[in-house]
Amino acid sequence: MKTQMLPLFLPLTLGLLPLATGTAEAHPTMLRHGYQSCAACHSAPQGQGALNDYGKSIAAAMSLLSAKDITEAAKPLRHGLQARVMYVTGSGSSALFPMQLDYLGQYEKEKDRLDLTLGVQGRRSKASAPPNEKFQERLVIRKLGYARRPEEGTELSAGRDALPMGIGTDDHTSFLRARLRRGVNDYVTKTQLDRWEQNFNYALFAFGPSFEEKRQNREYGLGGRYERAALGDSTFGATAFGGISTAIKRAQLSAFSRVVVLEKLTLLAEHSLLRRWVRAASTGKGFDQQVSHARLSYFPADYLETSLVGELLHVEAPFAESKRQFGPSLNFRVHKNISLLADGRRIETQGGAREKRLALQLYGHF
Amino acid sequence: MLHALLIFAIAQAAPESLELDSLNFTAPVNVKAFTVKGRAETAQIAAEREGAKLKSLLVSIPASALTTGIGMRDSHMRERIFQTPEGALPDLEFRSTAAAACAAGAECEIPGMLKIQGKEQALVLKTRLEGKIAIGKAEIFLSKYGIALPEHLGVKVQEPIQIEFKTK
Repeated sequence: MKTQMLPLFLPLTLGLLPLATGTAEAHPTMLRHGYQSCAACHSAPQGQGALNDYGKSIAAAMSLLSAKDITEAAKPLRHGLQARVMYVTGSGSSALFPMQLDYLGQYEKEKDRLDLTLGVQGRRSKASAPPNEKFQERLVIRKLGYARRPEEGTELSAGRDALPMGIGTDDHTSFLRARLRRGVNDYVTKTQLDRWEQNFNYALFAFGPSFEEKRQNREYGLGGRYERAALGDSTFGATAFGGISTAIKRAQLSAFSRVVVLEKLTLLAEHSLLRRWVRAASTGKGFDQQVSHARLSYFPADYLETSLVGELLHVEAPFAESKRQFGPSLNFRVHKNISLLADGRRIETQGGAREKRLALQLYGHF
Repeated sequence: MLHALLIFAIAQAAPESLELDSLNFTAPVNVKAFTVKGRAETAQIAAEREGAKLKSLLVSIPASALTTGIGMRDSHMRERIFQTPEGALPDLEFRSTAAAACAAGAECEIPGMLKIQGKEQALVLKTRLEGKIAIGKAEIFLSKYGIALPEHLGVKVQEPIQIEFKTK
């Protein structure tokens, strides 16, 4: 087993966790408690990242060890820390390695907010790192932006961030994110309008490149995401975007749903269709990539989410590829500051190759 | 927040106990992203009916039987809405004040008094009978009881609070 860089990540993460006073990850399954939009608990209307004061209070109420009633006054400056460690096994080898360590900073005063998420990229092994790589070369700015909320239900934002898409799963290894470049390694420069009411929310955005890409991959585009409540506490929605770079054009449509099946049972599902056109190709014919994702979750307690996740990936020629992955997930909110996530997956490819993967994540905010 | 009330079904002369199927409440808040939703886990309902006329209705709900699904919200609800200044937690109680004629399938109004924290205020239940099942709704204004609308870290409950109920 290889454990390069763990000495850097783990002590830092574990050492800072006791300072935490909030929690991190967004949970669409909060729907079952009447929260039909992430904006109730998260500073950013599309969720993920830092929690607002009310969100911290709810996180505490739904944790195992914290005091159940938080009445802290608002703090304009918030900090967070999240770490991700991955264990992968398959093809006769296994490895434990750090995936990322992120610092989340936020300054919020009245209607204005500044966000910064600064990450350190992990490496699976020394061999997977570029030669003579320096520490600062592994730093990545995941989010840097300004947002203004002129009134309740409206936010305008600009800066560097991931695009708001679909169900917004926090599993970075899911095909939805890893194969559609959703906030895994793509941080575009964008301007965005968010609107939300009791029964619907939407985001419209225009984006450009981060300028860290190679010139031919610098993409410009437009898109949007719409979600509406229906059938009680459930929601249904769609996302669409189109982008163009020197190398390719791409367009994506996806439909998604978050269904409260029973009081303690939810189903998140998304199907995404992405078509790409290689601009240099003479035929002009595009090729498709489709991803189907389903996550059935059961909540034996407020602080515990157990899930079964299944995903299918199919890509047409010239990158012909078919994969499926499935397995259990566990989200354990130990404390208002600390969440532990575990994702086990069995991945099968069309050619018969198989891989098992266990991802462990620690989240802490302070 | 809530309370509830309920209904009657088919009975002749003597009061009849009815079984609650569901009683849900919804409270809007000043933040557009969500509403507080909850339910009553139990209620005692007694109705007295004479022909098509409902002579009397009594609904009693323990305050501790009302839940929103999150413990912190439940304790806030009990402390800030249902608990008396002396620390008691009396049941919520609806008592009809006049007989009501409720034709099958048509909506009728049942006037009565709803007691919260031991204080009574008038409340009208809008009800429809489908066979033996009663389905209805009501609106509650906490301010009529002199109860301040609960607030927590910038999120404040708004009025009216909607109630929907159904008997078995």
